[in-house]
Amino acid sequence: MEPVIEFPGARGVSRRRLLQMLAALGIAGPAAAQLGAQVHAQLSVETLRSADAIIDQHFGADRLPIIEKALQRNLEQFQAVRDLQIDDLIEPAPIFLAKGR
Amino acid sequence: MADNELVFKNAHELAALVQSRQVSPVEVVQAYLDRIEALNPKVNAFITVTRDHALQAARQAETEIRAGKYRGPLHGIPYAPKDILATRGIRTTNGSKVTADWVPDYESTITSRLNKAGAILVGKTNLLEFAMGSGVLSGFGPARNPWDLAYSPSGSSSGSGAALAASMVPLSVGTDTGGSIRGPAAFCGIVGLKQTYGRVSRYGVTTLSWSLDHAGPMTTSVADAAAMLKVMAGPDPLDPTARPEPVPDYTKALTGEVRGLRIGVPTNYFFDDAQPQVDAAVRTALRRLGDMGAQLVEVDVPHADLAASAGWIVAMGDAACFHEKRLREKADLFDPLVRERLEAASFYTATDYIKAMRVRTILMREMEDVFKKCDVMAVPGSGSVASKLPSPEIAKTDVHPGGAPYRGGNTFIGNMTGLPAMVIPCGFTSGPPVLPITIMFYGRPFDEATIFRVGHAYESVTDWAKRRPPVAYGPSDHEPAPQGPERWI
Repeated sequence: MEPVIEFPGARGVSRRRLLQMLAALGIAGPAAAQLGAQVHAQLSVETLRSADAIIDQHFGADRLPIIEKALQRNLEQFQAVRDLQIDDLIEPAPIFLAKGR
Repeated sequence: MADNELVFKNAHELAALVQSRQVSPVEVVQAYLDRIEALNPKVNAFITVTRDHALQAARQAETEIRAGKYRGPLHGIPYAPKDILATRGIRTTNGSKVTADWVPDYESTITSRLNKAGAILVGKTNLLEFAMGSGVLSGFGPARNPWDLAYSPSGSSSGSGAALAASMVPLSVGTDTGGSIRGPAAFCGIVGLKQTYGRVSRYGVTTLSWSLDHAGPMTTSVADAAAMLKVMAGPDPLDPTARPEPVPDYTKALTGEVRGLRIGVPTNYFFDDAQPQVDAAVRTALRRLGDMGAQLVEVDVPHADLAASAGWIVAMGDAACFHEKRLREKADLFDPLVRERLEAASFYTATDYIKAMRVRTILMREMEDVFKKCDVMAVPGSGSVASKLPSPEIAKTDVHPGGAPYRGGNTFIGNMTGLPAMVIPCGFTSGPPVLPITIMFYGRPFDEATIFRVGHAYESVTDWAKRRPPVAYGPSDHEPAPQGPERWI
């Protein structure tokens, strides 16, 4: 099943269909991918401040705007990973080796 | 033999001279030390030069060889590991002010094995800080590309790539978490191998990502990489991920023959971002291999475009965990780009990380399917050639409004799948400046022998690897600086 992106005022559009629509408008390649990613929620310093309380890092007020921009960029890059629908039978690659006697 | 004749030889050529006692290890080491002294102010490839240690080791090697105690093809040959490998009693900076004065009381398994094989440590090479920095703002400044000193040698094994290209050392060890051996090999026009994950111990290599890190040989010929891997590889009780698979004599694979070998050429992703000259050079190399009897077959890796994004989640997630305490205590000493990346990664979610690991499984299965159809897969070593070193303003952050989107590259899939991959030169741009173009061969797990076979066969009928840069070049104004730092780790 393809991932569905909610457009304000429109029926749900799959990301693939969105990219097709953008291509029809002459917007393709990385620019289209970025536009697709921006459909999703934007971060804010306040969001990070709240999240900081969870991760217990206590970044200074001067750092949060820097982190916000970097993290926003990361999330736009990761969107394709987040959007990917993966079959239940696909497990994470193991990163440990059980040892016998 | 004149010093400049010695430094332009490959390690195996030097080994033949040393073994036959035509030259002494002391002569060889002295020649390289002199060259390092002359060129390092321009190239900045070395952070530490171990002059006294190297000459003492060279004299010991000379005594042993004269007494008939020849240890093998690395005996008496200089090498310089990336300054992220711990060397007992010799400072190991990780390219960072954070650990600028760290002197380990233990030795990495890799350097231990190379030392036991008689190779001679002449120094520690420069790198992007903690294998993920900007270079420009990393602790010891950027290494420079010998093909044009205003240009980047890529990274993070930047000093290793630059040192080899400038003939400052014949052997080096780099590390590769997302392309950091193969990127410098591509930009500097040398040989870089990221071997199978688990082929070589990671003990004593400062971590970026526990499951993506590889430390491998960087050389000026395929034969030298094969000789180095033979020494470096094998199980290690100090690294539970170092596998017990037998270590073959890789030099036996260097037959020059590729008849019947199937070379997979992907029809998706890997050539999409190749600059025209890169695409042309790589395809010409493939046609050459076809003329030599190799069979070219089309292959496809459907989710290749996700390797870098998923790999970044894993790499930065691991790195943020590894550096958590250092980041709390010494944040201001970090390269600002490293600090930005680690702080952002602190907010990655567990489900993002686990999903990236599931993407990993998908990629491993797709590459298994690829290797049902071919013996090696060939792609451009890098879709672009070297670009100018960025300004500090550009280098300090990954965020550049209006800048080009992140390009994943051809290397991360090797780290996500653990598959071996080797970059070798296959051409040059028309310039100016004249810059190297490379091809990369991926192989099956623990089948470095086949990669060596095809790489050596191609190398033996071309002379790309023999060309050396004119390091006298000064700063260049051939093109504007790029927008955004390279994402090499």
